[in-house]
Amino acid sequence: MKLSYTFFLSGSNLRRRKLRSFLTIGGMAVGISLIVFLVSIGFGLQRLIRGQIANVEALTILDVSRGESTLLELNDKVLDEFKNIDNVNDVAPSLSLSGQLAKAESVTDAAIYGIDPKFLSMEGIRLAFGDGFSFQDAQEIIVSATALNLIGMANFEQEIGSDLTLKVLVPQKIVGSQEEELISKEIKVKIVGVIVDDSELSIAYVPMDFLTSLGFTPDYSQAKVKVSDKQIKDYTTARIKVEDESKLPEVRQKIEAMGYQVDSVADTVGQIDKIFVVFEIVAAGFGAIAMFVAAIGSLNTLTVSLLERTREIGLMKTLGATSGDILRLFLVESILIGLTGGLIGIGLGYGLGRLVNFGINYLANRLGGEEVNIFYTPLLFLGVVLGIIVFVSIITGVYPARRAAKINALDALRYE
Amino acid sequence: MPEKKSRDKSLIDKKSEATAVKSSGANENPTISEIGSQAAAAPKEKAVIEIKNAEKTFSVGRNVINVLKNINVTIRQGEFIVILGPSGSGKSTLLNVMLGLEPPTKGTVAIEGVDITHKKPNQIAKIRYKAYGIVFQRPEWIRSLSVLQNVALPLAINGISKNEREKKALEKLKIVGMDDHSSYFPMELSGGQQQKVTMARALINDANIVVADEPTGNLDSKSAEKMMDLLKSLNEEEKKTVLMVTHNIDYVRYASRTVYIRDGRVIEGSEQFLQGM
Repeated sequence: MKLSYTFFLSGSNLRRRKLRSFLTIGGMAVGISLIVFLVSIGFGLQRLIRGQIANVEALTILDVSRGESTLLELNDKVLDEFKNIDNVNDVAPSLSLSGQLAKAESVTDAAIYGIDPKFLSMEGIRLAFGDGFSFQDAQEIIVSATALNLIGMANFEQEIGSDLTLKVLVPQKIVGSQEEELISKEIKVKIVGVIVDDSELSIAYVPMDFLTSLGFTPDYSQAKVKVSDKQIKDYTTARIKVEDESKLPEVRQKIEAMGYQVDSVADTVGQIDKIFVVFEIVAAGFGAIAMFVAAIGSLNTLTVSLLERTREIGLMKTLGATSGDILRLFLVESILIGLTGGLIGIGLGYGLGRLVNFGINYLANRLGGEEVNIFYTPLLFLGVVLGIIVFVSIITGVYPARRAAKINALDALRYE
Repeated sequence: MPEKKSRDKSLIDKKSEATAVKSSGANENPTISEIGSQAAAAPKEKAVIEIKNAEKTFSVGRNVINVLKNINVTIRQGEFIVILGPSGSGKSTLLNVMLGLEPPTKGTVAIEGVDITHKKPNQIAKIRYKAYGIVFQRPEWIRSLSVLQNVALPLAINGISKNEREKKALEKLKIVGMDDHSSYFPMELSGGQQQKVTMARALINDANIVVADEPTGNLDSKSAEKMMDLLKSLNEEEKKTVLMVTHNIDYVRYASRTVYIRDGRVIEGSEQFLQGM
């Protein structure tokens, strides 16, 4: 018997028992929709929180510092060593010092970071306003919104291009001695960027070369190591992100072996991922219970159908059908129930998720909040769900199908 | 009991006379004993079914029941065979053995020269499809399929394309006069109509042998008569070998040869058979 006819016959039987088929397929759809809905919320929340913590590029960055060690050095020579490690793309040093920002009479304390302008994104700096530094040792500054607020420059967009005063203690060699003394210096700097940060810290970034020109030595307090993958051309796709992240532990191990302390946003993200994996498993577990009940419903339907159609099986065998034909007929019927229920369930689960998301965003808009997307259904997950459906359908169908295949044609024709 | 015997015998004689009008055979007015012995006079066509030394036993608890005892039957091309016997005589078991639905406990069965005794059920199913068109006592359907699709079922099972099988199914429905009911579902038809459709299905695979197990069992006398006429015309015009099982002695008149069976044995000659009735 051709497979196309097997599908036709299975389909015609399901259509004949409309109510029963509807209830069985409905049960399967409810189970699958629950899985899709719950797990997609898990994926959505995970993505949302990961996005809040770090951008995709930040997940490829390791923060290397001397830690507690007083013997280790973090200078250009060491940075070159880092650069030579496989899969390391770039190394950007940074310097941190305390200083003050002033505008007219207003003054505020701020943490000042010297960074390489080329590696703005490596610092995880996302500018809300402005375009960033114009050249390597530009006398320019990027300031947090909190710091600007404290010195009365609340209209951020308009403040781009205006000047403020940076006060720092600059090391200067004492004449006739090897020692250094710290001298307070006030430098006019131009605002080229504003960052809006939820942490509400008073911080500012200036180009590293500008700081060294003031007299700071490149004995860095910290260096950032960017891990690269030579195949990566574009960091915007999620897939590349995963491949990129996978290189992180290897590089990290090598740097730690050199004695340096290594921190990464990926650590936090990894912890979040672990929590969400548990959440997703629990959510899938609830859905799986519903699906299990639906599978039992399907098994029941198939078994009842088998009993009702015993004479039909006898007829088909008498007319030339083999045991394999009958086995396939019942397996296909089980898969049809599963797949139809599964596809409806995926649609329902997805639709329900979009609806809930719409409801939340509607409320958020009404209350002045930001729009969020707490529902995310990766295609790979849907593929896995469909695979599980087919697997469960086959498992469910095997018992009635084998039983049907084994029936003796004559016994079947005598069945009342 | 002697009264019953004489009543049956008179009935057979009457029916035999009636058959004589329809029959176009050499013997214009055969008696039952003559019908029973026609095989000896018939030309030796090729054997389509051969059963040799067949026995069939069933175990019911500790009891072993011999349903068929040393059966030797040869059915030849073009014959109209009626297997006649009372209820419980073993005629249906004999038919099932001939169809390969039941293996004999001893002996051999050959269909169109192929010994099926030791073949597997799946192999026998394919041999059965090629050799037989089957009319069941009670019409059997795939209830979710229309009349046309049910008639085409044997071809569909055996992988024939949709266009070809449905075209052929319509032709066969025309032969039995049911082509205007092709889109109905079988359960929407009367018993007589259903049996006609079953006949169309039995013809769909152009098998050489048409087997009918009590085909008139559930029909009124008029429909039964039409069914028998149809079988007869298949035998005479289409040159099909017809094998019919019945307990109704009336139908002996349609047969070119009758196989009498009682208590699991084939009885030689009708006189001997009737003595036991």
